[in-house]
Amino acid sequence: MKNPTMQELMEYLDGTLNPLRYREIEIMISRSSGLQKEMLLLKAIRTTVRNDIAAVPSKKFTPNVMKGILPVQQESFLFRLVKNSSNLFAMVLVLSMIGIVLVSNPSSSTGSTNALSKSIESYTTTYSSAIETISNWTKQYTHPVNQAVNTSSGKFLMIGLLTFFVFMIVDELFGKRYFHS
Amino acid sequence: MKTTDSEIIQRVIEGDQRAYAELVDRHKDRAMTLAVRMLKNRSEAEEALQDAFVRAYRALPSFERKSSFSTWFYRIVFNVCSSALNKRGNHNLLLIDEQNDDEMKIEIPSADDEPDIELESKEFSEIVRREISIMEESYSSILTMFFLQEMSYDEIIAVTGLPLGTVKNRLFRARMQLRYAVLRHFSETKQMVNI
Repeated sequence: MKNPTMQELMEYLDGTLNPLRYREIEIMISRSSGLQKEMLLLKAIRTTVRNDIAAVPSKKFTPNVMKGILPVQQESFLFRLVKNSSNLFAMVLVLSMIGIVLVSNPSSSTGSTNALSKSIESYTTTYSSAIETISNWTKQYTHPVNQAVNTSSGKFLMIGLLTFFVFMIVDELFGKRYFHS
Repeated sequence: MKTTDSEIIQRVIEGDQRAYAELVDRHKDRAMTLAVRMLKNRSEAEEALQDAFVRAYRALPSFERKSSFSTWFYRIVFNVCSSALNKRGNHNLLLIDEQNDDEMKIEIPSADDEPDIELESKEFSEIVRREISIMEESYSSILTMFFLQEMSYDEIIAVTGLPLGTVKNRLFRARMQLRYAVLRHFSETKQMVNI
């Protein structure tokens, strides 16, 4: 019987050796303390490598993979407006300003029991007169534009622009876009 | 009863995309070990593995199920990591080794030459782990597939595309490297005790 090589000992351990040689080596191992020691060492190395998980992925690994796979539905315009802290802050600021202006209006603090409704009434009047002024101003200065719009090509242009803006608004508010992050 | 990989894949193909998470959870730890042993860097390995899972998902409808999902998936992991290594300039992973049969015919040294080794000690495990972490990636990847993933030679060939001789040779060298590291360590310890 030929002495086993290191490769044969490894194959013996893995169970990939041919049956005849396997039996020969089995006998040799049973008779030699050196071979037994070598087998124990190879077995211990195998066990250690088998049990050694080098690194475990982070806790967010699976959600991150799924993010790359699942289509993401885009949020609505209002949700995006509210979820962004700077947008939210701007909204609160504007609303606060309106509130302050309404409350601090001198006409609303003349002893009326309903200051807010009075101030709204006063601002409605102011708003109506401002609209009238702007309307007059528009008539005066936009006469050439009106003339241009009244031509057939001008009408087409206006309809086109209007359609474009309407589409943009509808898309922004109700459009659902899917994309892969 | 535990659902098989095949059943999960069927659910995913039928439209239950969230079932894929189960498949990811099932294979991520072992696949991560392969990626870490190839790239030797934890964050790069995680990134590569994430990429591999996304690629596998997209290629799932073309998976013919001739082999197991793990073998098919490890091929993707191996390719992604190989590409990352190529970008770094390591090209030796897929080179076919020269067959050196003499090297594999090393005879067993005498038992008297070997130091006493505590095979079940923490120290022993530490030496093996440290040696794998510094081992050349072409060896450590084959070693991981063979032992941790418990792949057969045929499966390793399917994953790496390397010939049988090269696979056997690399596995032999990897094991010998671990063996020498252990013997060297315990010999040095023995000498220090004797001094």
